[in-house]
Amino acid sequence: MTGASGDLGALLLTHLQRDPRVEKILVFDLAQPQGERIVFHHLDLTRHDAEDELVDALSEEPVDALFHLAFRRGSGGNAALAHELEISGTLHVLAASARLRLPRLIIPSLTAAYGPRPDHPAQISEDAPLHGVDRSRYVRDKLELERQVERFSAAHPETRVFVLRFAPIVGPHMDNVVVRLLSAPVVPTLLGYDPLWQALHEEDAVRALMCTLEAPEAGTFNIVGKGVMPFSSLARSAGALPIPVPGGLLQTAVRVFDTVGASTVHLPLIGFLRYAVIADGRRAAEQLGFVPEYETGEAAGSIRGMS
Amino acid sequence: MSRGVLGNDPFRRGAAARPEAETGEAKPPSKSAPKKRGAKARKPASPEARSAGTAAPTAGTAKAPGRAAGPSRTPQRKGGGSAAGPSTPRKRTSPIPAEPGAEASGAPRKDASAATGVAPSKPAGVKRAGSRRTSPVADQKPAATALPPAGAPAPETPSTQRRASTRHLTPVASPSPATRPPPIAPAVPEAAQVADVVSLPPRAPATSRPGAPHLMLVSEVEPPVEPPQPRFPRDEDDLATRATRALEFARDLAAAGLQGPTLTRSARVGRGLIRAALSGVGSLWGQQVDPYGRDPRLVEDLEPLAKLLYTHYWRVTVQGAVHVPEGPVLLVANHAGVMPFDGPVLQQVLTRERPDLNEARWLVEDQIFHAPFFGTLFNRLGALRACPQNARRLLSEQRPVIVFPEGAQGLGKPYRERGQLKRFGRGGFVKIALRARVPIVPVAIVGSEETSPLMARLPGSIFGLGYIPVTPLGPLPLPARWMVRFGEPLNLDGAGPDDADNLPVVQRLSERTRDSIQGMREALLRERGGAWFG
Repeated sequence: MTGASGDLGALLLTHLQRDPRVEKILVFDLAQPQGERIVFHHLDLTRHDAEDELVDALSEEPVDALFHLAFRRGSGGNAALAHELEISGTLHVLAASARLRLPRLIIPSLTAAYGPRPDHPAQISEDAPLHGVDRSRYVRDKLELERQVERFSAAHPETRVFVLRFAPIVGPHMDNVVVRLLSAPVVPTLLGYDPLWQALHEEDAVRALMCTLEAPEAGTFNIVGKGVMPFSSLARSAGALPIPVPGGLLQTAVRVFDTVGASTVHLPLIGFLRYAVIADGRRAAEQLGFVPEYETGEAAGSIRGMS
Repeated sequence: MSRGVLGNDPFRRGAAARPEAETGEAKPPSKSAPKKRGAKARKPASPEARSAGTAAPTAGTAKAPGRAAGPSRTPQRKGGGSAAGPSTPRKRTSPIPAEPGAEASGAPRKDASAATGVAPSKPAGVKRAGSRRTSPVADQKPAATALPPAGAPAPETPSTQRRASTRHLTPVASPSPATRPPPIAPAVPEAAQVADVVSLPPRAPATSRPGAPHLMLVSEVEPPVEPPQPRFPRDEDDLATRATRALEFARDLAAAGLQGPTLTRSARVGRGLIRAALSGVGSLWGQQVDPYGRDPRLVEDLEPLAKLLYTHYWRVTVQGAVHVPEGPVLLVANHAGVMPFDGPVLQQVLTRERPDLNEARWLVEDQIFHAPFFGTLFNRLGALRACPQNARRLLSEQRPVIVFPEGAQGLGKPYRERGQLKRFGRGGFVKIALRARVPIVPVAIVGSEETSPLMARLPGSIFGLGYIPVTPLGPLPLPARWMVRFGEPLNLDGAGPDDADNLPVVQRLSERTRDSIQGMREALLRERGGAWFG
């Protein structure tokens, strides 16, 4: 796996270590993780020769599956690095996979990539087009990544490529824009709107990743939590107080706070306070065998250790 | 004009006669200012109607001066009328066979009664015809109240009689707009009666084929002169009576609201309202919703309010609920009123009348679904955004799905055009039904247009809206009386999933649905009478 030091990667690593079916875990990262059965390779995916290093290591010790989780959430000065990691890092991984004829490749994405739009059906299926999120470079990079992966899997049918589109992953170990939004004491909502949200508990997210190790059929899957919730109720479940704010004011306020660095609201998230993006998780249940255990509300509650 | 035909047998009617033009004028509001509005509404209609509209002044003035002038004027106007547009083809659609003999000239009364004999009230009507001579207004009322429940061809008959009788007074111009729609059946007895009673033999031949329609035209000219309309049989009541009725209604409503353990009840209604408001704002605690956003607890909280509105405020009456088959079905209804109360009402109708069915959902257009407060609230009550994916998904769950193909156009109808169904989208509902192999059940709703009437549209571009609707009570509903009728499942002519891309088939079925709804609506309107009280 790559990116074992990320929040999701670290969680997956512990799960893999616990799994008796796992013989050995090759970790490609900058920081060395602790644990048994781990073979660590120091690898910087943003370097130009990362592909060769990856191929060398993997041809010495062939693997059954590669989790590509080396992503960063870019903000401020890290944006360029995040972009580089996302795009060229993925390119390296894909190229190496092609050379190695890797059996399985697992890549995470986001349901947010469908974009906060007025024209979504109540449950978005995996075939729906990805529209991305305005002003979110992170999601834009994800779209680019999905395009790359799509081209790759078309050209390399021998590799089973799993793209998992995760609903916002929340949990005590997660650190992302949604978790930061919900862990603030006060959460602004858009006055007059209360769109439905999904949230995925981190444990469920990892279980979905584990499911891909044995799933017979590759493809793109929405990975979502159990049930949906209006955003205000979700915020309450997370222990925050939702305060409805008129639209224009919210935009301005968030911009101002963002500029001074005090905002808990990621600007591109505002769209999701208006339009629901609810993905249909049926395909994952049928083909991947993944059924979430946590309710959306429980998942939100777990951010603060409530449940 | 083909209203009666439509009302009688929506399903047998082909797409030959489009009701659009007529409907606008078919039900001129007539409540406050029947004269003006009637004429206005008529204008954009068919050519005949237009000519009738222009003829109006003459007719109006002609009538008032006296009956003496009538006979002599008749031929003249008749000529003008027939020139305007004899719409003979409509005769084909008449359910009652129009006998050429009867039309031709001075047909004996028997013929007329044979043609219209369906109506139970006929003899009475005839009798009244005699006594009516002196006060047309007064006897309009009994005739109108004698209207049997719509749907059957019956309603036409009394009006026919009435028209015939009024003709005694004013041979030329017959009032009774009700007779306008039933094109041919009335025409026959009319001719007969005219010949018979007024004894104008030369006139009768003229009223033969081309005469029939233009007689109708002439009659169209009249309604302004004579206030009562069969649609609102009680409109001729004086102000005091109406006020009394309004008071009675208010009393009943108050009684309903306060009866029983008053405090708990009103508290529950109030609690429902508050929770609904909070939900719309997005500040309701602990909402648990289903995958589509419906909050069953909120629906439960609103039940007392819904019951009050349903039973006492809107007094919803339902017909033909048995026509809704079990399993997946597409319920296609007309759409009107600024606030789309018709969706929730129809859902209530189904839960109350057909508890055996799966829970129905209704689809709302984007403009509503994404409207602040109301979109949120409607979603919590079970509305989904109208799109094919959602419809398919709901149908696959074996649910009845309520759709309003008129969409936002239906909501944007000005009050005076409320009787006129808008274009039924691009037939998307037909495609969905064909692909999913589910039946289409047409549903006519009366009352939504008066509940939240669009009085004016203000420019709303600064708020990012197409227009700002002006309604009497803002988003709050008025106490219009509602009627809902379910038709029989549409005859699809054996069309299957393969025909979903066959545009002519889709269009034909879409049009058939629309005609059916239009027909049922007009029947309901006649049956309902006054929109508000009584």
